[in-house]
Amino acid sequence: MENGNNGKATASLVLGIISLVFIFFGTYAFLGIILAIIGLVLGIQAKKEDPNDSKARAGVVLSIVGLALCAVTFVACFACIGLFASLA
Amino acid sequence: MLPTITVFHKTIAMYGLMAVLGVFTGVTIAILRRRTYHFEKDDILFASCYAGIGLILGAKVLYLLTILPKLIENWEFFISDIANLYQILSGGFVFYGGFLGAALGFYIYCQQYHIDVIKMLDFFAPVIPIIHGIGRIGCFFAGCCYGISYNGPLHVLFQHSPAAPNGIPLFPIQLVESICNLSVGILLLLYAKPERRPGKMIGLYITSYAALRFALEFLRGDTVRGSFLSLSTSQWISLLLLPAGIWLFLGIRQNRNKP
Repeated sequence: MENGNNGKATASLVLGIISLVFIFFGTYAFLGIILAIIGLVLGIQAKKEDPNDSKARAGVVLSIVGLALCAVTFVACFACIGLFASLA
Repeated sequence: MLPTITVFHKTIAMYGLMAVLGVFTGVTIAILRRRTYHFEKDDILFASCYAGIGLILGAKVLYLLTILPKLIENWEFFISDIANLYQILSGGFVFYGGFLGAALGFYIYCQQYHIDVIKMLDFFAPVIPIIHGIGRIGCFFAGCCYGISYNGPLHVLFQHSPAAPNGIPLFPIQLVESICNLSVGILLLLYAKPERRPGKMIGLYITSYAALRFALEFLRGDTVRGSFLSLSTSQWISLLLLPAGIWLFLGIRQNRNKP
């Protein structure tokens, strides 16, 4: 159980760090969003199982930051409007 | 108006920035007032994360459903180039899809960690319109979700918008909806008390927003969104949510359990 929890915390930390890297890859930031979401869910599970796990805490924080920054980079409401205009 | 800003040579869309700023503000307010409802800080933060994931997925899925006929019609065009698929994924989010997705996120978290989901939704009820109100300012900056053609006082004239028709005076519906949402949020914050009957707060929010949205949709000019029997998708969802909100607000849920 402890190893499993440690594995989740480590995975969360690694995914959080990788998601932060995707901020600099422009159009591929959506991959960062997916990785951050997985990292966040794993980190939350690890933190719930062991509230004092600092690795899980770091994983959650990095995943939240990665998710927010990748979302800022990726989301543009008007992107699809130009696409539909080109179809008309 | 101001669709993008440049920070350290990187172009950032104001729509996404305001959406993230809205979520940050909402979660901060929730963490600050968590003690009134006796919630742990971690539960508020983690439930917000689950809701945030549901919000992104729900808003995207409902948007894809509203454009489904166009997607099917032009399927070959979309799969011919990854850039087209990217544009479909990065643009277009429907609030109601986000709301239902976030509610599902809260439900999954509360089920997983044995927390009363109605109490959690009641706690977050004032925060939702505040997040939405700030997000709508992002719509105004981008020019999306624009209003009908209108030449009266306080009209807006977009000059370089990638979404709104440029050079045509429009009704500032984004700002009106933002003010309405922020007002609902502040009123709910003043009204919120933990001893209120379960479901009352979230019921009041759903009722007020569904009524507001149904009326404000008549002032929207972006007809690119789907419609059925001259009502938009959001108006149909409002009509479905309104009785659910009244049902929760009036406490029918609790009364039915009484002998």
